[in-house]
Amino acid sequence: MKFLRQLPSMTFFYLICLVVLFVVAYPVIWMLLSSLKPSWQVTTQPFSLPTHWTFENYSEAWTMAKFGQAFLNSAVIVVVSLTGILAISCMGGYTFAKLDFPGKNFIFYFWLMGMMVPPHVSIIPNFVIMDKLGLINNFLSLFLIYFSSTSFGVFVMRSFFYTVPTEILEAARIDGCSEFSVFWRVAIPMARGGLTVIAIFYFVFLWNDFIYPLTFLRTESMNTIPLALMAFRDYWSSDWGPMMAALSMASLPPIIFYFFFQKQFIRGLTAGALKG
Amino acid sequence: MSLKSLGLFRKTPRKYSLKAKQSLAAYSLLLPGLSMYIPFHFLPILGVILLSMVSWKGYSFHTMQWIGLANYREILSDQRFWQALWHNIQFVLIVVAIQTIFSMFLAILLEQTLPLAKFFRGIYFMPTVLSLVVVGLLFSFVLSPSQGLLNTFLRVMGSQNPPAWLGDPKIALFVLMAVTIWKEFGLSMFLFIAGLESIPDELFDAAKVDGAGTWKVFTNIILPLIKETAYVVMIMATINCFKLFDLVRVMTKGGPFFATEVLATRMYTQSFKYGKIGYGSAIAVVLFLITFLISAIQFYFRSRGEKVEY
Repeated sequence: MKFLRQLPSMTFFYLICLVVLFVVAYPVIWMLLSSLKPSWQVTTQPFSLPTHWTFENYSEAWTMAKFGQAFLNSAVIVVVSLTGILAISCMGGYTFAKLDFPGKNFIFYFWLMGMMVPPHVSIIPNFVIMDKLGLINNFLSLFLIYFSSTSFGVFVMRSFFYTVPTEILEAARIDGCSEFSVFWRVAIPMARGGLTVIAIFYFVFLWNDFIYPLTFLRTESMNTIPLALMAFRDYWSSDWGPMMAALSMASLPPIIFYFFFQKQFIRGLTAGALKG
Repeated sequence: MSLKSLGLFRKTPRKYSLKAKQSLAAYSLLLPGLSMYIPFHFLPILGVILLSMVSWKGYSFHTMQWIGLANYREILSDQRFWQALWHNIQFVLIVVAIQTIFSMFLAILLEQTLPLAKFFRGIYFMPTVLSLVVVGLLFSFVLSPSQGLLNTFLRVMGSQNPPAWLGDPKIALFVLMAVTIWKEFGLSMFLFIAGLESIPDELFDAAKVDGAGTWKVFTNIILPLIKETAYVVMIMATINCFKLFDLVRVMTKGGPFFATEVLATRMYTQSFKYGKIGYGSAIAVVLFLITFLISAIQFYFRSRGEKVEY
């Protein structure tokens, strides 16, 4: 799609793109550079490159913000929740796309309704439920909540499974596979594409989720990374160097993942917003 | 004399219909998912509605008292509630408009064969993968009135009294809007890019042959064909504006003096800090109704839209 040919206006627009690039990238770059400066330099000489490159901020942030523990907590929560979500989405998507059974449409739209309201709406009753189950300050409460947030995953996997040719499944059935074998041996291996898409979407969502860990986790040792960052800011807000280091440590995993899997990230996060 | 010869058993094995076999498999496969979804996602929504009609401090069920719609009456007369709602609405009015137009503009620009277009797009999308907590904290520091990056820069440029940004009740909300746009425009832009790519090149070639100028091309070709994408972008942005919680909580906690309080934060503080579970639930129900309505509109548009024939 190339139609803006005039040269002078092109340079003008190009300049705009550069300005936007600067506005987007500079805060992050500043954060990374500041994390390598001693605290006093962050505030007095914010624009200069670090004169004494130091990793002290990182070790301070790691111990003071208890980042190691937070990293572990976030990782555990994300890995377990993601596994459950992917499994449920795969099973659901396949079922709605390839199987025929009474109540199919009703159950599908019933499940899809979960996408229509944000999680903040149901956080109060969920807290009550978890409290009564004695699961406050227990990762299990988060697992249960996240396992229930599968509407989007089911929706995408169903669209994905529609593209899988039914003949292959039919062939498996004729060969004597039970329905479960058809699912387990034929459908799942073909699901990789769709699973990548929702895996990335849910990874970003889970890793960065704030409101649920905020509500369900009570002790510092259970903090996820966002919570650890908040605690760090509340207690040590005047230590800019370690603060920037903590923020950098928190952002680097998603950013690095993103730059390696850019295409899949973009596909994952825009999927479902477009038709089908 | 075997049991078989008694003629009591079927001669041929019972054949289950394909539909029966499929149904069994289907229900089994759906069971795990639904057994999570129903109690922890669907029922809580009904739960909020019920909770909004009680007065309760939480914890022990004994203190729960049915009060019908009294919480809603209290909401309607609560100035802070209307303030919060108005803040959400201001967000929608300003952020959705700016974000949509801005991301559409960038999408069109970057669809051209500019050098490094792919690189630009990659960078623009990066804020989407960052946590709102990281973004909120980072910008809290950048915008810090005394030592922040922005104000230091402004002072170097000669400004005597740079604004207090998040500390100024009059502009704090707009600062939050700017940060929100910073984070979200990349995603909207990519949605527009996808929409633009579905416009066949022949249309542009035909327009060039007809001698159409840039503006004509924009209004007659691009605008009508990305209307669908624009709707999606606007609705997603609108819902995002009502979902606002993380950024406010991290950057201003609703302050200064409630200048940035939004529905979700008010609901949260009322319920968990002041123990007014029924009241908070009523706010949650309002939030639910609003977002449900918007989502319903989106679903309606999506099911109605067909491929445009040219």
